[in-house]
Formats: sequence, C-alpha cells, structure tokens
Amino acid sequence: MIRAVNSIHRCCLLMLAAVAAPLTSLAQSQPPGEKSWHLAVAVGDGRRTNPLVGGEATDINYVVDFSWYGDKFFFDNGDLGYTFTTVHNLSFGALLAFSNERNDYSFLTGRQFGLGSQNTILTGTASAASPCLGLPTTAVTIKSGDTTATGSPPVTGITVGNCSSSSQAVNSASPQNLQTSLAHRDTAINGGFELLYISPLGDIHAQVLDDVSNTHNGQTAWLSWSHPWYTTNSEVSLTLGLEWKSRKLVGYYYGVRPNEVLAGRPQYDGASGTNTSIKLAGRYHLTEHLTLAAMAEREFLSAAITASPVVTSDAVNTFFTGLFYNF
Amino acid sequence: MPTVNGLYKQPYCLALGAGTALLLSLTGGMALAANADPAFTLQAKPSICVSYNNDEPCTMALELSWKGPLKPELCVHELMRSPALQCWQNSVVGSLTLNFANTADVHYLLDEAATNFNLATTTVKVINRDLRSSRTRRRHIWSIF
Repeated sequence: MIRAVNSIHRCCLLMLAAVAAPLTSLAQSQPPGEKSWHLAVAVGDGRRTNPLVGGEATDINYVVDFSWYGDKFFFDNGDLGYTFTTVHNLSFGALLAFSNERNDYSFLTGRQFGLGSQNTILTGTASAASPCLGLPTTAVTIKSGDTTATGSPPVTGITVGNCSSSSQAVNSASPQNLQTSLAHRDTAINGGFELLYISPLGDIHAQVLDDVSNTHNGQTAWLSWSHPWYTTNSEVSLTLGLEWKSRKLVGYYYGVRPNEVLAGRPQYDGASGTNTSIKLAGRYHLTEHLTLAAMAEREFLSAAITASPVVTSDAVNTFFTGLFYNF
Repeated sequence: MPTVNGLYKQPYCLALGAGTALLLSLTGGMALAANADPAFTLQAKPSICVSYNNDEPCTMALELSWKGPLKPELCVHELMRSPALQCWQNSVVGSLTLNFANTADVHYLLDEAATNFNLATTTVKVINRDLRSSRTRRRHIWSIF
C-alpha cells in the first residue's frame, strides 16, 4: 500500500512538473476573460463495487473534478496531454495517463484485499499446488465463490500444507500474518495517442496507450461512443465503451505468480481481453454554479479478467447522485 | 462503509442512479419560458442550438410562435435590439421563422407595440461543444463524471 502511494506521489510530481511549464507560458498567451481551467466538487451518495476477492465496495461521497486546457497542453483529472492538431470538431494528441487497474481499489479504500483480508471462516476450493502457509494444523479454507481457474470442485475445511507445529509457526497463524492478501502491484503510467471527435451523431473517443513506466509493459486501447441530449436546464448522456487490455497488462494486475499461489488461488498468467461498459449520466442545472447530478455505469469485465483467481465478479457497477458545484 | 448488506443494495443503487439521470432530463424538458403576463406565451422551437464548431456561430432554422388575448399591435424582437423582427395587428396568435446564427444565448420578447410593455419572453440557449472541455474524454476510476 505504501509503495503504491509512493508510486502515485512520484507520478503526480512528474505530471505536476510537466504541467507547470506550460501553465506559466499560458498565463501570457490565454486571451483575457477566457477560463482555461475547470474545478468542480460534488457531494452526494455513490458506490463502486469491487470485483476482487475479499473486496468491499467503495463509497463515493465526494468527487473532485479538475481540468486545465491550454493551447496545446492540457491536464484533465490525472491525464496529461498534448494536442497535435484540432480541426473544428476533431482533435488528435498525445497522452500520459494513470492506469485504471485493480490496485486502484486498494488505494481508494486503504485496504488490502484477498483471501486473508477478512477474518472470517470461509469455504471454497483448494489447489493442488498450495504451498505451506506456516499454519500448523490450521484449517485454512477459502471463501465461497473463489473458484479456481482450473475448475476444481469446492472443498470445505481442508488443511493447507503439511507444517510441523513449531512455536514460530503457531505465532504466524494469527489472521494478521496470513500472507493471503492480494499481492502488491504498482500503478502504471500509460502513454500514447488519443483521438476525439464530436458530431451531432455522437462523440467518438479513442486511445491507444502503452505502459511507459515499465511496470507491466502491456498495452491498452479504448474506444467509446457517447451522445449528449440537452434541454434548457439539463442534459443526459449515454456512453458505450470498449477497452482492450493486452495479455501482459492483464497478467500483471490480475495474474497470480508461482510464488503467490495458495489454496484456491492457482497460478494465472492472464490473457488479452476486452471490457465493455455502458454509462448513463444526467445533470440538472439548479443555478449557474450548482448542478444536481447523477450517473450509473456498468462495466463488464473480459473473460481474461474474470478467469483470474483474484476476481470474483464479472462486472463493476458504479453509481452516484449528488450536488455538483462548479467554481 | 458498505458490508454484505451493501452488496445486496447494488442493483437498487444502480437503478437509482440511472433513474435519477433519466428524471433529470425529463424534468428539464418541462422547463417553460417565463411570462410577464401569464395570458401570453412565446415559444421557440427548437429552444437549444448545439454548436460543434467554436469558430462559427451556431446556426439553425428557428420558429417563434406566440398566442394570447387580442391586442391592437404586438411585436417580437430580440432583447436590446431593434427594430422588431415582426409585428401583428389585431391577432391572437402569430409565428415567424428566421435563420438563427449566434454564439451566445438569445432572449426574445413579445411586447405591446404602443407601450413597449413586455408580455412574454423566451430564450434560445446556445451550447458550444468545445473539444477542450468536452466530457467525451474517458473518466478515471477516481473521477466518475
């Protein structure tokens, strides 16, 4: 967790440094009266479900929305970009962005997820490749639903390993010492190209990104169509999205390495796959600055991700309803 | 923080979010123009012009229509602009079609010609779809809008 935070801090510093330079030059080039930044804070009630083993949903009670757009450079909620060309309703540029992967859930909630993250009696499956966990005669069983990729039938109350009952091993049997939480993974920074196109028929957004931080050396591609509908005081938009993730990316974030194998958590190398998503968002403008906002999204995880032993759900649901204040 | 109970709430919460989003659009559609005299109405169709090119004015064919009690002469004009776009004598209804081309919201007024007393107002909203501020961009896990 600490490593993850440090990694993100380093990334933030890099991005801030990159943003600072164009910001100073923009202060001179920006036409007077034209606002180049956008800051909004939303307060309300929302939730994002967690597909990970032992994962709890994340409450969403506030959202900060910040973006800054210069002539060429822009910063939009963590994305740093450079626009090569904008022709009317078409834009093409380069992008640096944080990855949206499973370790974000740990970062957002401050919790470690995994087989040992819940101090409960569990039932589930076993793996033949399970190593000794330092749990003498301790029946470590796995949460129901954590079925293995190999499709092993559920076994309840199995004993993991074949360890002697030394005092050291007994001490390690406390729930706090169970090394069954999801293994740490670093946050990656992706870099690549982006295309935006808006038209009366809908908006197209495409990204092709590669891991430029040497974290997993994988790639991802995003393609979405969205359509906003407007009334005098409100707007509603529908977004349909596809996100392809390479085998290296899936293997890094959702794979299980040989040294991470446990009962119910067999080795998994990952595969490439495509997530699909649908999102509906609405806004009602109460005043010039205050907006009532709501959104609901369902992201269907690819078979490559759902086949992972560390994933128990095939979709991620997100919803939020609240008040948005635009500064 | 959500527990097992929270998981059972998921479908309902998702439906709540989607329902609210739809409701926002529907209630927004019911917004009507404010009237100085409730007996008169002035309506613009369409009432929103969406622009996909910031370098040029938002253009569309606009129909303005009004109805109300009989008056000797009524005129429709843009706010702070003269002359009137069109006037009607001894009528209870009227309409005109014009080529709308503007970069910002435009307010239209129905006035009594003799006294310039405002009877009804309507606004045509201009929405500039700026690529820079477009919410087309993909949202991250920590930024859902």
